[in-house]
Amino acid sequence: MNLTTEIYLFYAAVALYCISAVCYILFFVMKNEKCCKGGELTLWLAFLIHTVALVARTMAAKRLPLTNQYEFATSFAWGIALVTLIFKRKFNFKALGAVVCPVLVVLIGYAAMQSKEINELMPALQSNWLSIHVGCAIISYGSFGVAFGVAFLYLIREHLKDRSFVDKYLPDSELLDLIGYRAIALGFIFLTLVMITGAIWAERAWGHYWSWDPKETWSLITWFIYAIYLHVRISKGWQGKKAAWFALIGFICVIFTYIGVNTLIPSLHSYA
Amino acid sequence: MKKKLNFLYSMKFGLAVLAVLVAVCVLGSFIQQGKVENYYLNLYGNQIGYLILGLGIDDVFHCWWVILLAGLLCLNLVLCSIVRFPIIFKKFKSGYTADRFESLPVFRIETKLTSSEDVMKKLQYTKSEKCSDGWYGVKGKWGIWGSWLCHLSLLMIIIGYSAGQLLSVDTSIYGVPGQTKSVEGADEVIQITIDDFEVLLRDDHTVEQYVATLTVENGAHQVVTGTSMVNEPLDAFGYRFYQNSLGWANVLSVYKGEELIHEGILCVGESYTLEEFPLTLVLAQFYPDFAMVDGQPMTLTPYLNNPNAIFGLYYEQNLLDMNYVGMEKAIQVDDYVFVLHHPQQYTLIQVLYDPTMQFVLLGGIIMLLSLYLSFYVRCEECWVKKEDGKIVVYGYAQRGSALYQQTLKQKIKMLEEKES
Ligand code: HEM
Repeated sequence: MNLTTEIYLFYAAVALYCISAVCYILFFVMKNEKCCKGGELTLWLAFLIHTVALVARTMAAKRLPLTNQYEFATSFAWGIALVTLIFKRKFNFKALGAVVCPVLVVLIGYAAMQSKEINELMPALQSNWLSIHVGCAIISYGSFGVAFGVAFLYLIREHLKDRSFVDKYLPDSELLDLIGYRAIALGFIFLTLVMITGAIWAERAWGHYWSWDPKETWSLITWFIYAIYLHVRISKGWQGKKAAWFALIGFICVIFTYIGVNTLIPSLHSYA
Repeated sequence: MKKKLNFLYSMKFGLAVLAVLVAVCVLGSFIQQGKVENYYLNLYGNQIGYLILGLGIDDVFHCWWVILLAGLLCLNLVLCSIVRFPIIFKKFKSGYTADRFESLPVFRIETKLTSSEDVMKKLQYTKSEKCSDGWYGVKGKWGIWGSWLCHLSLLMIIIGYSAGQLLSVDTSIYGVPGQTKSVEGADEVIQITIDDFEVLLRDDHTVEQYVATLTVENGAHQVVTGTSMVNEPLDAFGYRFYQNSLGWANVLSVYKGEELIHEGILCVGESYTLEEFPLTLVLAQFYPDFAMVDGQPMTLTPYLNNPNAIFGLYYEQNLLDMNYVGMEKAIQVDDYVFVLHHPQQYTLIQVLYDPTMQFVLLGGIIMLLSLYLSFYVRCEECWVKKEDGKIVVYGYAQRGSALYQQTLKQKIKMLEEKES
């Protein structure tokens, strides 16, 4: 498989993710179960094609596709799709795609706008630690993406008017809170791994395991925000809505760490 | 007094400090760190500029009040951990007993199973005990140590990192193959000889790797030889040698008339001043494949096809001449002739001694383990009782009880199917 095949597959996946998001939105608007099924099916299909696209790129580049803006954005979207499908299955939560797919479409749209060239890696980027670091970031950010969708649903659940629809298709608030917590727990462990493997890589490549580079600092900010979420959730009077707000803020930090830092602040990580 | 102490180890206080630290990090990421005073005054104006400088926000991650905040967080965590240790220990040792049934909001699952002892084993409660009206089992008790260990590991990381800042030696040397340099700032005499330095290029001229071969000698004349590459530093005598960066150097020969009065390596950015006369030559820049494009000097390839240097000549502090010159070409001032030749690349090796790095890494590993314990090892209690001839299972978990109930239900369903 070559690069052109990968690009075609990538765009096919983009189109399918968009169709999936539209199906899910229609499901919410028209309350038609068929739309939900359509959304689910296209999400699965998009994920499979996306996976093949990533494998094609890995083969063309002879390394994991984890080192520039395009590669990370597409892998990040793949991570969100993967965690969504896992959580959907584990918690039997069919409508999960409805809140996550729009986030996914925005991300993969961002990936589509980036240069898709395969570049040779500078020496600092030729490291297995880097691959593990970015691989963990994909799972971590994917989980936080799912938690964001769930927290959003938690906050709007009460405001949705059609109660029979809500009761039939959405988990109750307690379960939503629990699903969000499980997603954040998974994301938090992987974010900790991201920071540890990143520190090991930075030490070997740059001579310092922590140098308060903006990207490092923002991943620490994100880590702190989710740590606060974990504590807020177990404090009396802070559970539920307040904790859900922290889950939203946390994901905004994730997006800022990933895109904002690169575009707004000069950083060592400007290639990733 | 006791109230104050209570507040010091409360989660509220810890989280408040954490929130302020988040704000500090945001500030530190948006305001460039470690610049000169004028940078802040020009960019932010006098008022905000002086505020930034006065509060130490130009080096916010090392300023006194942020260190104090980190200290407060540590104090909070230490106190909280001391207070919680005996509680968790007691709970772990003897806190899980069958009689908790009466006081807990347990969930109930009716089954079609027959033997209560067997059910315990089949549900993987390896250590179960008989209680008054059935069996009691608990698993995942280690999970309750998760948060305590996580706080301990965070302390290890903060303390290890801070100690590393105080105890580490972080310096660098640079030179070309054949040169020997001593490491300044090290407690013992460490000499590094650069045996070789190679830049491996790909076909498209991009760099594949920088390889420095080094011989390191310590005060006791023990010797270690090896290579230092990007991502693969060399370890010797507790020090780490990192291939950090590189640049160009020339050999500079200086003649007075026909007589050679000096010959030595001059790296880009370095200068040489005559001993007998205040004349200085600065090697300002070097281009291996020199060309003037739109009036700007640049290099076409990284190869030595047309090496040229940009030099500056000073008499005392006054610039006499600034120009580019080819290799082996004379730069003449009165009787003195400067000749640059034998272009080669120098390597910059970072030298680091950080005795706390392993400790910090251990903290990181414990943190991962503790998070696994916190999130994935749920302490689950189970009671199997016989009520009206039927086996009924009760369960409780302090956290995630709903999920526990769900998985227990599934397991019981599978057992029932097997039995039937
Ligand atoms: C960045 C800093 C911190 C991290 C990463 C951290 C991590 C954690 C984690 C992972 C848990 C378990 C949460 C769960 O199971 O859902 C936890 C619980 C807890 N943390 Fe922290 N923590 C931090 C700071 C603090 C501070 C400053 C305090 C203040 C005393 C604190 C007090 C507690 C308490 C009391 C619990 C509840 C334990 C329990 O009931 O099981 N933590 N922490």
